[in-house]
Amino acid sequence: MKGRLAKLEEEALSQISSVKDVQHLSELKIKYLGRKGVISSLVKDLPSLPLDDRRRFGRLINKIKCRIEGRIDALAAQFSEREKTERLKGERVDVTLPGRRVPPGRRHPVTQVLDEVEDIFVGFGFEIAEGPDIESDYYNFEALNIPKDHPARDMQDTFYISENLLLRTHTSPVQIRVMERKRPPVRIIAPGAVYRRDSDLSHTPMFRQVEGFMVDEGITFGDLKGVLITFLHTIFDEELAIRFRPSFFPFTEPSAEVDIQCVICGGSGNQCGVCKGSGWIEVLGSGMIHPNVFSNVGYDPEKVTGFAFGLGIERITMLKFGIDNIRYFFDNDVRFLRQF
Amino acid sequence: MKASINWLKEFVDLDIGPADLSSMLTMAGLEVEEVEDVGSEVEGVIVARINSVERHPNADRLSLCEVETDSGKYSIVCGASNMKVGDMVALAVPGSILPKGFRIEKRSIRGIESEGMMCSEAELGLAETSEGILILDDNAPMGKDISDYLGLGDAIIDVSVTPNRPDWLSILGISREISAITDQPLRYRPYIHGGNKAGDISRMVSVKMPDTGVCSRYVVRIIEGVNVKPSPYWLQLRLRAHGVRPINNIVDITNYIMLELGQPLHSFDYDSIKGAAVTVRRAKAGETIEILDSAVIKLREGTPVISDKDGPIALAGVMGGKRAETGEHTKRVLLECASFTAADVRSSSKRLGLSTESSYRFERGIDIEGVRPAIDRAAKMVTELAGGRIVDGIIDLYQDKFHPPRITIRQKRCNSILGTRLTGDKIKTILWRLGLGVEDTSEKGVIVVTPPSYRRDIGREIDLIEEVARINGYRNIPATVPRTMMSPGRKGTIKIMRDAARHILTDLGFFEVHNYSFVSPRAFAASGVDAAEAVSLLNPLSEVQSLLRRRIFPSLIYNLLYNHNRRIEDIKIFEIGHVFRYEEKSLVEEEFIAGLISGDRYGLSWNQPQQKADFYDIKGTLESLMEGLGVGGISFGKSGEVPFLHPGRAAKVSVNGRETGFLGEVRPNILKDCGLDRMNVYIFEISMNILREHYDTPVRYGALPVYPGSKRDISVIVDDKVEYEVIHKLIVDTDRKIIEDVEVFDVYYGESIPKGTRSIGLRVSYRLSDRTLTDEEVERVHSKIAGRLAEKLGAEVRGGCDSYK
Repeated sequence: MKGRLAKLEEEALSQISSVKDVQHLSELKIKYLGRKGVISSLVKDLPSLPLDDRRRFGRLINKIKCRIEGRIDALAAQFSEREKTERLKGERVDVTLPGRRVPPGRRHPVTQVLDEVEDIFVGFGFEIAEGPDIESDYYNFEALNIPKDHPARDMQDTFYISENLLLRTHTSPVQIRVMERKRPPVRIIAPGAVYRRDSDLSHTPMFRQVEGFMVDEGITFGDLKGVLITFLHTIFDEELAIRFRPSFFPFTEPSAEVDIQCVICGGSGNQCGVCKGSGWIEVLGSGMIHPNVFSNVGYDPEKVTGFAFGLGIERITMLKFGIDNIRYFFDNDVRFLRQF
Repeated sequence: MKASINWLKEFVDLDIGPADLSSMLTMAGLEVEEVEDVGSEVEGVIVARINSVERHPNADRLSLCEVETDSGKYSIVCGASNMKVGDMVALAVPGSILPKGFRIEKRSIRGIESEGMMCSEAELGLAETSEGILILDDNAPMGKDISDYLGLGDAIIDVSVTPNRPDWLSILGISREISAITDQPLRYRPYIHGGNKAGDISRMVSVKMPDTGVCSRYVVRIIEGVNVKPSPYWLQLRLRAHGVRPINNIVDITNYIMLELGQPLHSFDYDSIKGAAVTVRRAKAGETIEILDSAVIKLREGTPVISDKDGPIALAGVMGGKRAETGEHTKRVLLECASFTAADVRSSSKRLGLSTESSYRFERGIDIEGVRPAIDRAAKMVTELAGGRIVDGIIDLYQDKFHPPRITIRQKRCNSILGTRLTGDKIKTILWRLGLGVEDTSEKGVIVVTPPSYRRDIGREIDLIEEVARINGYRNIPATVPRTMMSPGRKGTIKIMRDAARHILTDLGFFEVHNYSFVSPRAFAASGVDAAEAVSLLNPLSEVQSLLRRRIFPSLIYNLLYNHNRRIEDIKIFEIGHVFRYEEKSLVEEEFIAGLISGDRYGLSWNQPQQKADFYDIKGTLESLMEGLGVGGISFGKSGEVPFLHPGRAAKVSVNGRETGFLGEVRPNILKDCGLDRMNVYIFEISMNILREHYDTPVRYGALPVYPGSKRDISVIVDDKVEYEVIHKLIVDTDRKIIEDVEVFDVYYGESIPKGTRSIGLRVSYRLSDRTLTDEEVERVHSKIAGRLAEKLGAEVRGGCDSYK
């Protein structure tokens, strides 16, 4: 009996393990576990056995039944899982088709760079101030130590609204406006549109500029260098070579133009149209604020010193992205704007 | 300003090449923009004389010449025809090297051997093109190397001179700078020719200066017996290299002295001056002058002129007149050397549109003490190159004598501005090297400086500090971190709001554009305002950029057109910018934000319907923008007659009852004008200033609901003219206590409802904050809504009792 049972179990389990589909599995289930199945008939035969054997074999049969049942259930679950997966697979989508979306727009590249510049200076503790595009001659020139009939006015060809009103040629008037109402220390950047009567391949009659200045006791030309070097390294590249060379602006003295190593040719100057072979590109004008400017706003030039600087944002944007034509910024071709 | 390096070397020793010189000057503030080589690659070309010219036996167009030089005679075949026997020429003997490495060898030309070549200017690299060979001066030294004779192997630097340094507008001035930087001595002694004021000259001419402020110094010399002819070749070459066109020896000398010393001079034909007297004065009304290039100019009253008995003969400091010009007929030359008032020269030059080398220098200021050496050197040079004799005596009216200022520089101040630790000696040395007078004072670290007459830009201490920084080198100033109070950086509300607006709109698919503030009269007219009311430019670049914009959207329409012409048709763009207008004669500048949608709502897509954008797209954009900015209290009202908007599809936008802008469909006629026929174009434009007032309203938290609410749908068929806002208000007003929200889920026009009506599907949300509503309570209010809609609006109410939980 015991041998028969063992053989039976072995046979059953081996049949089950070779089952390929649900149909076959349920046939086996009926064969072994059904009401008229193999196990049932064994159980039916039990009463004919002696009492001792009855209990012993009863337990044994039960164990075998459990094992067969377990195996069948596990397999059934496996089949069912497989079937579900098959069904879900049938519900597939083509994941390579484009999604349903609102394609995002873009901020203008010049705005993006302006934001970056502002963020750097705000990080240095500067505040943002703004002024009007239409300025008086006083704020745009006179207060900045550029008297009427001074040849320095030729440096910036001006659009006039009336004899006394003009489109500002730089954002430097904001210096005056801020210092007129605020005592030192001041740390300001003034972004905004500026206008020059100039239009060719590399100039547009309107562009954006950031003016910055810092006034306190004991601010030095060395500080001007420190702040601008950090700024340029942040916006371009930590390794960038930078040079300060003397120049002239009526509202600063000493004045400096700041050149960076050409970002297009890497400073070699080889056949480079951007730096015209010099290896250097001018990016900033700067200097120590002129004592006359301080006097004009009621600061004592013996007590406070400060530096100021100005940079053209379109130009920085061109260098950052390698854009070769300033006109793209005002054409607003969506295929251009999308790239940034 | 162009400067020949060989010329500079006449004044100061220079043992560095053009590239190093350029970088040295640039780092001292005299920016070198370009370096140009002059015939530097020529080798082995010598001065020779033509002994004979015959026709080439085998070619009509070629000549066969015998050319002699100190090393022998050469037989040369030549294609040019401008030479004659006795001419001095530049002979490239076999083995010579011309520019670009071109090597000259003996070679046979049409059967005859040519032992070298007679060079043209182009072949020597002296000109772009040239006709015929170069004929040298008769007295050119035979056998001399042409590079030495003509000063080849030179380089011309082109420097950009800042307006504060007029002294750099001369070879002498640049040499002085080099001398200061390199610490090499300057080789220059001002030349003074003898002659007292009471010499013969006073019998030949008298000078009067009746008007004050025109001229601070006026000096005259006369040279008689001159022979006016072309200048020697070396002088012409030098002038040309500096961008000055050779005229004749006399005029060329005045230009040469101007380039060398920075002092403009003018030469008159003495015998053309009427009345033996010149007057330096302001022009009277109605006076005219014929200038050198034959144009007759009507002078404005007050323009400074040089005049004789019959009227103006020169525009003071700008240009000479035709009547007394120096030409081949001239036998006696009157040289003028003056210091005219900068502002006067500037204004006549500007007004007449005549900018000359002379006016450029006078505007910036010349060295008043340099006037006499300049005229004396010029006079001497005239006798050398044109013969003649300097008439005894000089006229020198020097009204505004130069007195050097005495300026104090403090070592401590200098270091505290620069952030350096320069010693007093170092500072003194630098200033001394620049040619400034330097004296110690009794106070330690305080120096008194007297600048020379050519440094009028130095007037106060800061000017000296700049000189110290410059010559010491900016690179020697250590970069430092400012020692100042820590305080947080601030962007400010308007900037933060602008950034937020940009991010919201780009997330909604809009591209930011940048346009000019000025527009054409036509674009301006689209704003619905008469161009006569525009803020306009007095001096626009062109008519299309002549008016400052009153609104932004016309620029956006232009951007749409630009893209449309490139077949980009589904457009969403926005701009934040200033607009300008007069309000009661005063100028108002205000920041606005404007957006534009055109084309399809979703673009071309396989999984979204291809639908034209419509009014509700632009309205939804604006609503999202306002919601994103946290600006509440927005309302949309009837637009009235906005000339540029579709009368049925436009609204005025208000925030808390204050008009802020508008939105709607652009009127078809405006689009048609731009060639955007039948396009759907929707715009909004609102004031950033007004938004800002409502922008940073503080946020207060509201408790989330605790008790469940319930929702009921209702559908009304109502006259098409009844606006949704009315329906909405009627519903909400039914019971403000339990009605939480009303949403529209459907708007329907069509066959199944009467013409002139529409059906609106609404979902009403009910909730109480302190307990759960009962079905009966909800039902009662919902029925009441149905009743009120029917009663007040004559609406047919459907599904008033459908419930949805």
